[in-house]
Amino acid sequence: MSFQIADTEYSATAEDVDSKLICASENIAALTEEMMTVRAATPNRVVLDPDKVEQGLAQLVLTVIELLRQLMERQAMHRVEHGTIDDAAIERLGLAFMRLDERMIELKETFGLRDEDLNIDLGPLGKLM
Amino acid sequence: MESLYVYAIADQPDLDLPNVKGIGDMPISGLRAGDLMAVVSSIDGSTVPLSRANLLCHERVIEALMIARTVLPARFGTTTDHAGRIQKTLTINDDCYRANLERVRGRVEIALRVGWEPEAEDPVARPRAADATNGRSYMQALLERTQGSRRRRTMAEELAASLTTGLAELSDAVVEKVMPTPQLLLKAAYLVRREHVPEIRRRIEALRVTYPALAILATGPWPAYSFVEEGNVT
Repeated sequence: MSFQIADTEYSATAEDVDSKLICASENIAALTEEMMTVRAATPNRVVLDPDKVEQGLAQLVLTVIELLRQLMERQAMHRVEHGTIDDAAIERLGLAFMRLDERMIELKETFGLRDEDLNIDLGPLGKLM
Repeated sequence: MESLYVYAIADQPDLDLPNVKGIGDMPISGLRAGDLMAVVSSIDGSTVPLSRANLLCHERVIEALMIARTVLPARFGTTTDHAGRIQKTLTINDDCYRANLERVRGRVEIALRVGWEPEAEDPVARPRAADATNGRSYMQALLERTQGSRRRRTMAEELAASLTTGLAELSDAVVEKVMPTPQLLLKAAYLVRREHVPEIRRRIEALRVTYPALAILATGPWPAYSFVEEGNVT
């Protein structure tokens, strides 16, 4: 086996990158945009910048609340679908979730957070939202 | 503070390294432990900015190594402050890394992303409390969203299975995630022998023709980024 590669200058160019493209549909714009938002290589992290510690803590707390809200909603949906909950309880639960939704919107606005800021990566379970 | 940037773990440490520069135009070097080596270069600080130039450089080094060796590519941004720590990691995980090298030897990764438009009648966004007139209507909107999500997932799984059967049968290992986001039908990676790359290209191109409504993006061949099991890091 020859090891001449050590004497060969190797440099990647834009053409090398293009050569990686096997197939791209014409309607690829939306897909690439979606991939940019996924940003799997840099998952969301809670920001604990000393200058923004209040916002960082709010992000952490609201993320936990969002997780709990989704768990509670799923449990409630399961009960509704299986008919193990009466109309009065459905109304009460619905009101509770409405109030929680309104309060979450207020708190996110107060701390300058967006939905994506609470969308943590749960590993094999995927994104929270 | 100076750190070491890690590109890959490779076999054949006695071979000359390729003539390729690392991030920041720094020379690459090999840190040997037994029959394995880590390929590294020095960087200023402990992190490397995520930029097109740095990503291309990371890939360029790994692909240059792949010309004569089997490599386990490191994730972009992997750094350490001490050469001894890398060598200790190589020693501790010797069996694991050797098994990994055998699994990816002579093989490359093909990446596939498929986008789709979710059914318009199925609500994707959360219902807004402001749109509900009472608790019951809000619960009804939540329920419709839940059931819509379930229908979409079932449809996505069936469609993804029909798309990938022909690719999976050419692959030695597959990593697939169906609907990681509502707009992304499939995110997948296939570990294929180099000689199967032309055929897998042909099959992916056929998918594009068969499913014109789907947004299909396939790239490769890449180093086997998705098929390396992490060892115990010291």
